[in-house]
Amino acid sequence: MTDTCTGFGLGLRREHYREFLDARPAGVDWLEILTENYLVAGGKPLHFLDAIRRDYPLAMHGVSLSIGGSDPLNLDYLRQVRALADRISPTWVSDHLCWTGVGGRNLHDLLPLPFTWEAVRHVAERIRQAQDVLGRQLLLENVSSYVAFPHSTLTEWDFLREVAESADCLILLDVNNAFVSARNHAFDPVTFIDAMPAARVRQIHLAGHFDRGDVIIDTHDRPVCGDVLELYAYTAGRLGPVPTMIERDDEMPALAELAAELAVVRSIGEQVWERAA
Amino acid sequence: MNTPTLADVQARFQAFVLRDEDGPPAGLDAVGAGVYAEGYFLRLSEALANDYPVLKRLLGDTAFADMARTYALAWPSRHYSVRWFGEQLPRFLRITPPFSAEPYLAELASLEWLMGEAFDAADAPVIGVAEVAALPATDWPALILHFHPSVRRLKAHHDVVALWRGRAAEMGASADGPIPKLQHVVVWRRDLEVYFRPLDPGETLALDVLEGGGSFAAACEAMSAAVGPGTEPAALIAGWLRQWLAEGLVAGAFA
Repeated sequence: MTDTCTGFGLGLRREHYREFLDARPAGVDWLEILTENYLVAGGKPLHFLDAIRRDYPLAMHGVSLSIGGSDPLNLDYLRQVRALADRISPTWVSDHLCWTGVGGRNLHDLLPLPFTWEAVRHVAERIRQAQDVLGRQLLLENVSSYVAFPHSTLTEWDFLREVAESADCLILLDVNNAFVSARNHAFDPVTFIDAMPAARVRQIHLAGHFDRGDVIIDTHDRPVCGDVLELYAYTAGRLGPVPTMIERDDEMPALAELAAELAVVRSIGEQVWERAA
Repeated sequence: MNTPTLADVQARFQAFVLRDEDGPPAGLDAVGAGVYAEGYFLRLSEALANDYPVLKRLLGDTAFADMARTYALAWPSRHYSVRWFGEQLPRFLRITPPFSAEPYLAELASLEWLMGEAFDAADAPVIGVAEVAALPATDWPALILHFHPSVRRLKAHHDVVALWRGRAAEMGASADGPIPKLQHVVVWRRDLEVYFRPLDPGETLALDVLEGGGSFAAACEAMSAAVGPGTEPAALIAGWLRQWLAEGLVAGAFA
């Protein structure tokens, strides 16, 4: 069992449990799980998780932390995340720089924050609290967004950097999300990538989005598009060989198809790093 | 204008997504805000479809999506995991018109929810017929059973087992819904797969006692009282016990 995620990975989805165990597709170095899917008592999810952990390094990726929310942090949730991390020793535990609901409600969405100093202080304090419960540094991911708050006083990239530095947390850079938000809010995604503090970026996400015309939406239901691969090539040049993976959640193809898509991503990264060397 | 606090911003944005307010908060792009409002119902409807696939087939896609929307508005999710969003759906169907007029809908939903509970309930080893056969006969009256943590029971007033099987196989059911009939069902997980089957009325009674922590002798007594003299409750219950052991329902037997 190799213990650390390096190289190129995929999101683990239940459609592919058997194939990961039986066929071990070439070129998939590690897997990322959706944390909440395994915060259950027993049965199939944990059975396959334990079996797959014997063969693959894993990363944990959550959607429920609501680190930017104005309700108190859900400590019960955090303790369960910690217990799962103790069980599978993931390379990273990540969630999103967003909020998911207030007043005890959960909208089960990655909702956008206003980029203000008030929010920087609020989020950074909560990250420190969460990291204390988890006993490790968190990776926080930039989300796709469809609205911008008029009272924001920082750019998204400055907001992310200020939060990460103030809380001393790490970054999961979602290149597709940077691209989606850049298009929706008319900024240059290269500016976003250039502003990332390289030493804190530990993981990269890639995914497909849907261009509706008036807005582009982060759907994870199709291959990564050429523009995002191009932005990934730029990111790989700037940040070096950061472990990178493809997220796919809908219109799920055969595993071989995802592995082939990942091989393209790998060749892009490797070409960039060879040229640089 | 004063800068709104983070808590205000979030409360207003959430009120818009949950349709407590008509338009998006001031200053926000209506198209972009709409993505969140539309996505909310789509995502929760998908979560319900995942938990209630046969109910969805019975209602049809459009009626199911409408139902999901009404449910999401009436009972917004309060759990960190979307896994639990659908927990109140059987209750919602039981008390909310027009679904309440067709009570088998709530019963079918209960069956599907219990299948979901059995799916990821805690693990435990099970014992087989041999382990119980090895016990001396004198131990039997005091025998207490521990059932597998996935075991769930349902009392329905329609043949929900036939309804589920018919719909799961895409067979037609009558437009009037299933015929009323008292039915007890047991749901459990074995070797990672979820099973269910209807229970005999006597078997239900024996399970009521034994699942409640009563002894084999207590189950025999309850059966004698219910069916009257002339029956052999011990032989009947021993027969069911063999079946439960073979099916993987029993995690332990202690005298």
